[in-house]
Amino acid sequence: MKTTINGQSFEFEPRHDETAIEVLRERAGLTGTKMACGGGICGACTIRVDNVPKCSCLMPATQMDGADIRTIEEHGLDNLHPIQRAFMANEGLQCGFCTPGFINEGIAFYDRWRAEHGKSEPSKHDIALAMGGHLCRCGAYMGIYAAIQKACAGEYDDAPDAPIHRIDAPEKVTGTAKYTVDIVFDGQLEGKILRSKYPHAIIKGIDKSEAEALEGVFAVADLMKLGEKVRWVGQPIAGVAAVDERTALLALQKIHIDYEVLPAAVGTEAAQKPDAPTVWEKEKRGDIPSAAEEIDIPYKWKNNVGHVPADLLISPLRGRAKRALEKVRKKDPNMLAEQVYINHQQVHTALEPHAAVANWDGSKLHVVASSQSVYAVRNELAHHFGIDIEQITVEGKYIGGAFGAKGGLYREIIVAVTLALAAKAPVRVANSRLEELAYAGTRTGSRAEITLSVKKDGSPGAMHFHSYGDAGIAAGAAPAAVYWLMSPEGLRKDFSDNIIVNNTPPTMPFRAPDGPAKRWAVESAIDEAAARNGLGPVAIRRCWWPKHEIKNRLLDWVESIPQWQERKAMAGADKGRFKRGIGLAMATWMFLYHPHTKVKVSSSPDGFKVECASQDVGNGTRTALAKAMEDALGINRHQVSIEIGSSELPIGPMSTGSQTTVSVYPTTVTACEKVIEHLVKESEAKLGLGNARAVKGGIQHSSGFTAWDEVLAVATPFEYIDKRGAEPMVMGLRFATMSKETNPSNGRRFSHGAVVTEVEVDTLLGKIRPINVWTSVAVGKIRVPELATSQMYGGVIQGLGYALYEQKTFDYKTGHVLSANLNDYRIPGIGDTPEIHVHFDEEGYEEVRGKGIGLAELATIGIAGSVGNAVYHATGWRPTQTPITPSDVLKGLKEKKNA
Amino acid sequence: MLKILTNIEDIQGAKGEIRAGGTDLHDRYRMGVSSGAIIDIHKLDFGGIVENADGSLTIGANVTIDNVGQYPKIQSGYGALSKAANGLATPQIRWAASFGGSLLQKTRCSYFRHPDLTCTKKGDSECGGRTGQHPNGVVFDKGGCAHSHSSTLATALLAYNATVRTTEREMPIVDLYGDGSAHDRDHLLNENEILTHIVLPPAIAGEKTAYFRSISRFEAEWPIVECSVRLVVTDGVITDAGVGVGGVSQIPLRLKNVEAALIGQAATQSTLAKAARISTENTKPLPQSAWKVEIMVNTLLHTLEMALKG
Repeated sequence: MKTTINGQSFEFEPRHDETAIEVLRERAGLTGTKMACGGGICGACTIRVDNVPKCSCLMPATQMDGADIRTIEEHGLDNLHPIQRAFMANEGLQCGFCTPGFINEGIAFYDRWRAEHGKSEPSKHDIALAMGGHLCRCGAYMGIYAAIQKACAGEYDDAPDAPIHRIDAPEKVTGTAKYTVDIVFDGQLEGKILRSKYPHAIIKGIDKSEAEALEGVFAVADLMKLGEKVRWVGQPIAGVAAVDERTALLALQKIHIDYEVLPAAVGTEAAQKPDAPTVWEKEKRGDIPSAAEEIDIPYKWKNNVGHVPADLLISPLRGRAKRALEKVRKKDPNMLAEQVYINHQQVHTALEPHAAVANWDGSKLHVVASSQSVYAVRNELAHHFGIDIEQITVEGKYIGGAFGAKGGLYREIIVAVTLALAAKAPVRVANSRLEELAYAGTRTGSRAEITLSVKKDGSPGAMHFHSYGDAGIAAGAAPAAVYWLMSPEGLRKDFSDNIIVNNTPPTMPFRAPDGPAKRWAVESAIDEAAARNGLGPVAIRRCWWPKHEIKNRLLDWVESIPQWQERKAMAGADKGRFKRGIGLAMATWMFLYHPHTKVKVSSSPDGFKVECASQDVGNGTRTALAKAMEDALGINRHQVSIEIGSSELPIGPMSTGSQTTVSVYPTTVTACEKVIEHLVKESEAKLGLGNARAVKGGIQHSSGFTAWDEVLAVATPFEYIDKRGAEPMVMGLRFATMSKETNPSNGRRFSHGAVVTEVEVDTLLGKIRPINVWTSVAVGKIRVPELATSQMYGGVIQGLGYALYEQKTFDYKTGHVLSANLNDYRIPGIGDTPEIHVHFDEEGYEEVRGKGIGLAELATIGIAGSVGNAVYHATGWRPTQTPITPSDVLKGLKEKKNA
Repeated sequence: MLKILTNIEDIQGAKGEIRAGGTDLHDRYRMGVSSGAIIDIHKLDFGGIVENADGSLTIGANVTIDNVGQYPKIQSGYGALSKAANGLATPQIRWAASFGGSLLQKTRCSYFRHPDLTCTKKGDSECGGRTGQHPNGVVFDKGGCAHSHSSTLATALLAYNATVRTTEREMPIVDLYGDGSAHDRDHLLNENEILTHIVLPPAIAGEKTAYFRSISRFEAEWPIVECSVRLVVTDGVITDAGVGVGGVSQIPLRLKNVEAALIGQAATQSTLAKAARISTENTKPLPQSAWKVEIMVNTLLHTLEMALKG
């Protein structure tokens, strides 16, 4: 067959069930076209076929015959399309994995719009309809709207100097950014994982002979030992490396596992039954995986329910709290806000799946991974495989989203390395979307029993907060303890954290672990207590934090929102089918940073360079480094050479805990100062400048100004490595409790936020439409405003998904995950994006190095709580579980009517 | 194992699954739910869209959904069909998928789409969802499979009383699906029987139409319930009505009782509300899908109101 790809003729003979994406990526080597869902839902693979956008993952390869195919590679840096410029100028992307699809759809839309409407701005509604087949997990929709609107209006038709805020945006909008799934080494094999089909079984036998005999199979590796137990559907049992994916999948079918199937407890309900099978035997409890990064929470077990005895520390006077609540209950139970709040599990589902390519050449192990922690993974690989750390390099240049699920040495990396060692060839392992949605990352589910009383003056009374986490087979959820850290003075606490282990896949940290759940419960309870005590939502929070300057400033900001000022005092006041409501939630989070981070800044005749072994998961690490150079040296950020995403570089932060910018930015600035000192001296010595001092862009001296370029041309090359260092604490003491090289430390401060959400509830069809979200954070100085705003938008959008759409669902008989494709697991689309208004409160935090702390997690914490409170305000019915589905709304409204 | 048909006669003796646009097939192949040989009919020419002398309209089965939605004569004469075509899936799917394929696609049930779960439509004797999870299951239960049929366009064709032509026969759209008792089937075509045309009866001028689906998000989501509605209103009285619903049974349903409750009545809100409520007659929901009866009534009411408003 003969086709034309980006104007070039291309001949191929497809296999019978081959699709266009395979022709493009595997035969033509055009890896800019991305595979994400594989089912025509997310649009990452969108190409233009005779200028019509098509999902190449579903398009039969035979339809390429005679067609004019255009991929993201069509427009390179030397002939950018206005849509590409617009995406860069308006922050229409973060991790970049969905970007090629959006760009291709955008180009086709731009052409149609221009043909029909000339140079004019389409509405967001027009764009939402056109982009309905695209999903962005980072939540860059606000930027995408702006980009397409402005491009259609002609703003980028002739704009070679349009701003590019994000350093790696050019690679991402042209398809040249190479993600782990795009890496191909000579002789590379494809690895696939045989996963348990049972939620609980003993592996009695693994017969690999038939698989090993299959032509094209290079290695079959055991990932479990005989006699070991599988405890969840999807647990890896064996791996196969074969010449291609089809052969590897076929080989999986030819591995025969002899299971002794055991009774299973799928889900927390089953796990709590009196006769529930024991999920973790007493002697095996040391093997329980942690859902809370590396924090090991000690438990006291009663079959499958683990109780955290340490909660005595967080509420030592629980008797007083219990008595206070009982007193109110006796006097007037209506004054108690008492509910059980539930959050179903949410799935990370980054559009680039968990993926790794491993290559062992007999003396060196080179691993490319879609990872949040290239530096830490090297250490963990050395430990896991007993290989000398000097022999290992880990690389991750472009990461297609992570959100917490790609930290550390995850299973797919282990399998890739195991297979590469066995096959003595490079092996790639990349999850399918089913594997990604079912097994590779989930936010812990939560059940919180809350009873809250407030005093007559609105100040905190007593709170009963008992949490029961659903981390699947894992443990490590502590929303009550996390809230304890941040709860107001004077609140009497009866707090307890518990975990219910059950035979479902382990959960993992997800953007502010336990944060959204904790706030969903507590902010709903505070809202309810306010209503029961005749207080407004702002008033009660002022009573809780009378002296807290930052929180009160945020509350002032809430009261400055016009829609908030017009808020009706009574809930459910709107008549008719559509009811509007507006709700408030506050949020607080920890300040994490990485004291061990080192940044190397160097100068040479080639220019300035900055290096750090961190990685960019879409958060903007490259841009934070470049912006620090820009601020310190007064040069354009795009003139800086940046090296990240390799374990060979000076140690850098993991992309967790909102710690990247706060770790690398100030360190880069101080490293620059040393380089500047050197350059000033050199300019005096070699250029004979008098009274030289550094200013923006170069050196000011007695006879004028000399730009850096001229100084660099003559100066001796120089480099300086600076270390982030620990924050000074009270009385100058350092406080770095978890200070392993690979772990962050916590700083003394907290970050604070306030979220106001306006919704419209369709009481006929049970649908909740978010209309406006106002979100403010107090984290000190914002260093890269455009990217910080993107993070805030993304936090809102993921929070709305958590509040309204996303739920991991199981078949309880078999333990299989039902929400295993992106139709059945629903993440927010562009049309679900409300107007989002971001505000930064930049005061305070002056004593922190860099004068600011992280915000990525804080950005999502309060969203669900504010949605719940808005739904209550709209309808008078209080939702208690997320996601708040149409079925919940209809049921809730009916119950309210009948009550 | 790929046979590309250039002549429809060549289907005789061919082995494999028939592929038109491929949007459903390749999803299943990639998920490991389906496999094997493919017979590609993409190149067959069924004549596109033809306006017949008697006012009826013949649409080739491989016309894309987008072309159905955008065709002026369909927009003007068969509004419920064009609105349904423009309101389903996503633009990329509508540009790629064929009309015929959208009528014959396989169920979107998560038990069917998961390679390791049981499903009557994958040849298993038992439906996993019936004894498992079925919150979006059927409310007019026909036994066996517990999930609804997936074809949006079929609901519109039922409202229009359309017929379909195949390489073997011509039949009313309702016979393409039968009574829902064939739990291993999504349609009743024989092996290697190709759907070639969809025939719409002559359009009725001034018809009021609507299509609507209840979903949780803004767009691009398989429906909880979907409705295609057409109303003919003369001097304030509803003189003809067509009502098709999806998401509620193993087959797309035409609700004749609702149509009967509309015809001959004044075109008022109370008529619509009364008619919508009549849809609950004969409902037989499953335990977890019982909540859908209410949203079916409400979705129907909303769609009827949309149609009447025009």
